[in-house]
Amino acid sequence: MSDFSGSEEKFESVFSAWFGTVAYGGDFYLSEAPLVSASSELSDRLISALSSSQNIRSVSSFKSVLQKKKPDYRKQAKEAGLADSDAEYAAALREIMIQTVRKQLSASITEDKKVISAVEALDDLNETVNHLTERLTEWYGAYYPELNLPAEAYVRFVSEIPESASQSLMGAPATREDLLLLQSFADDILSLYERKAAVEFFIETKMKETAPNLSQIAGVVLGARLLSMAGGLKNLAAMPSGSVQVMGAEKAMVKHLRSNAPSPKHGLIFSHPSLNTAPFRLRGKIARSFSAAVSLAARTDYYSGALNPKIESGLNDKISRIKQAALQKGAEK
Amino acid sequence: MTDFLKPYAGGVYEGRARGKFQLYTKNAAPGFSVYGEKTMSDDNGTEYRSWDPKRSKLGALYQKKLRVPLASASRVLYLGAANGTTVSHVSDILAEGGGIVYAVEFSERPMRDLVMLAEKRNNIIPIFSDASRPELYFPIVEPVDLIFQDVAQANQAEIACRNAAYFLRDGGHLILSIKARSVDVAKNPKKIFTEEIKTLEKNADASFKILKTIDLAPFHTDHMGVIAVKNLKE
Repeated sequence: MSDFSGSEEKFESVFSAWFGTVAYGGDFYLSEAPLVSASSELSDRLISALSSSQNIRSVSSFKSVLQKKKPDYRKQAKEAGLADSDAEYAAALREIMIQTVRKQLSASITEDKKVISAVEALDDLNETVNHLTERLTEWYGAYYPELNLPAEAYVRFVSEIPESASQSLMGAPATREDLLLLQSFADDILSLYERKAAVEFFIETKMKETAPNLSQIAGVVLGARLLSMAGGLKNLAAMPSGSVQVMGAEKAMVKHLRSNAPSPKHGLIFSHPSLNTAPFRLRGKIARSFSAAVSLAARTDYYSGALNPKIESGLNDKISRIKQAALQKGAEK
Repeated sequence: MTDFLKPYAGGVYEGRARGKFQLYTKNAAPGFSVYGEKTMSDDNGTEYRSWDPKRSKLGALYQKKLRVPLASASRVLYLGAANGTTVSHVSDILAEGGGIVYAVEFSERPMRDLVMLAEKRNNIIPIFSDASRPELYFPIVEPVDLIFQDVAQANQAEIACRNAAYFLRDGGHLILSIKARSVDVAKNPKKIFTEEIKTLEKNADASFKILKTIDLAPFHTDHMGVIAVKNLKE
């Protein structure tokens, strides 16, 4: 088969159109035998030819020509015997584009997109689990008010030995029927706790694979949330770190832009211990360094993929310097 | 139930639903409702889909009684196709006269719905690409009669001009929905609209003569609909 991307020497005047190679010499014309045969191979070629930087450059160079003349693909395709009617032209183009887009879509679900789905599922799971656990404590509490355990242990207790409710002095007397219902309810919640752990494990392994630097700086869950909010690793890498800093504080940001409200110091990143344990006065400064490190990490992950421990040590140095400076300033006063 | 329908504009019909004015298009894929919209059939068994102006900027333009430059034989470039809610109605209109719509969308989630819509209708060409980079899909799209643009990006007018340079034939039309909130959340919408209009009128890529601008309230807040025609090259 002939080369779909066009000949090298006539680069400025040739580009790949969806049905073959089009050239320009005063007018646009079909320069190479068209390749339409609705095969899956053709859509593969189309994807790579259309996105090749050479083709893009070539097309861009026509911009001024297009003011006067535009290529008539329909006419060219008909003359080449690819389509006899407008309907046939549309049918051929539609078929190949549907195939092309299907392939592009399946390739667009990259590893970071999977992490995003998982972290969004994790948030839903957290909410549901907390809600149901609260309901169970309320409900079983009527039978055994003295029982005081942390959430997951409480659920496990009810699922295993609900009969111990009969030891309670304050609680309502429990029938076998009541307890069976509560026990199966607790079983269900417990399986959600297990699911949650599985999702967390998935996020952790996937994050360490696809975004090792981001995971190291922000931690896996916060890192995944940042990815989710930015819409992917590519987007997060392309984002200015000032945006990363206030991501998740949009409401405050808009308020700041519209009126003379103070700008938000941090958004999502506040959930990181280096921020939420920092002294109030230093949080803005630390947030700036932290988000700069997050950006750097995301960019390293996107463009190189290898772990660079210098990012973390650099950030730690910066934070300790900020704290040191504040201490000195305090001492001077 | 609705009573009879009468033609409203090319390919668009008006009727009444629960006593209220309601627009319809003739369903090009009978039996399928695209986004949960109500359908109704006339005495001949032809199916019509109701068109909600609150969910579609183009629908709002029709409902506001504007002369929309969309004919059933038009070749249309639709930028920001999203799930295909509006595209499906455009496809209905075009199905009556053999027109074709090139639907460009950049986000994968809505694109999934759009491909499935294109599979059911023979006049939608789906393109998974960035509307601000027309050189990427220039090899696919032929010169068109109309560009409809509804993208939520900051440089909306500029994107329209760039696409017009590549695809819009001389004397072709542009329908643009400007979302002030996407340009700048803090600025006064009116100011934004004036600036965007200025870009349309004086742009190096393609310049337009503004035919009509209209506020899309109450259907869409802080949105302006613009209908313009591409200036002929002398």
